[in-house]
Amino acid sequence: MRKTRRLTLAALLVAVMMVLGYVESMIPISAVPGIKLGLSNCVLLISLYWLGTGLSVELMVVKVVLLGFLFGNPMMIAYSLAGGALSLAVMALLRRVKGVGPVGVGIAGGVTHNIGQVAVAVLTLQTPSLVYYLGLLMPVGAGMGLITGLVAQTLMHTLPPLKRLEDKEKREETQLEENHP
Amino acid sequence: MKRRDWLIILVVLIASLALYLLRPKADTAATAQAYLRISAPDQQFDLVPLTDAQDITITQADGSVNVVEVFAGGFRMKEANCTNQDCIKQGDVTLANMADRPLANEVICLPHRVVLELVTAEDQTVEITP
Repeated sequence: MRKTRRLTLAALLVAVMMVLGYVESMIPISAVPGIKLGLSNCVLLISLYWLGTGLSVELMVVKVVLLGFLFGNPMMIAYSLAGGALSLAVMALLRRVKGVGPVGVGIAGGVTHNIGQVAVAVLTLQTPSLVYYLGLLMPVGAGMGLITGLVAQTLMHTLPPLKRLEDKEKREETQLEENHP
Repeated sequence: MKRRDWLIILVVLIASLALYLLRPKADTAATAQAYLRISAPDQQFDLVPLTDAQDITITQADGSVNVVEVFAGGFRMKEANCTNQDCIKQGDVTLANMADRPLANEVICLPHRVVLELVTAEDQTVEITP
């Protein structure tokens, strides 16, 4: 894919994540810290499949920092970054495993996001007992991951696939070459 | 859904169940004298006996303020000048309800790094029996 096209698509995905983050910040899910919809995970999932690991890491960092300054505080950026990094690493690895689809990758991403956050909380608060809290967080994270995975899967089927874009580019290029030999 | 997607779900559920079963159970010997332990960065607090009603204000150098309301038998976070107000929504902690709360005997303010714990012995955390 052309560089400009990748960049534009990445920027578009960041914009979508910003909007989803804003919407999410308005939905009070529960009093239990760490539980949220994780809608932007859906976008990261798609970017992982479409744009590859490198750009997805950049997208994640940009998202965490921007959303952190807009709707959170510096401390929450540390939590999100730990969760986001671990989750993205696991998702990038699982994507290459045969027999694992976007849904499985999404679930693993949701759960590992929780694990990363709890790990930071255990370290900064010096309260190891928080580990048991994962027993509650993980099934919820898996549920949310299931939803985002299904949404991502559907979107990737429905949206004009990048494959088609690439084919079009190739056709255009060969046409150019034919016209200007 | 592919085959190994189900495997991932299964692994997560088993791990959660294991953590849930292994989680320390608070020994609610109902008559035990309950205390509140406050942890905040760079500050020391004495254990607060949960007998008389009072408000405790935790002020930090960066301007974060938390107000804990203590009442007979329990406590809750009453005010916090943070953005998410999670700690306030975490509600009351008492000897009676701490076994059923998702955060057990704790109230946690993540942005301010303040932890409130209900403890039963002078220097100990709640006696735990696996």
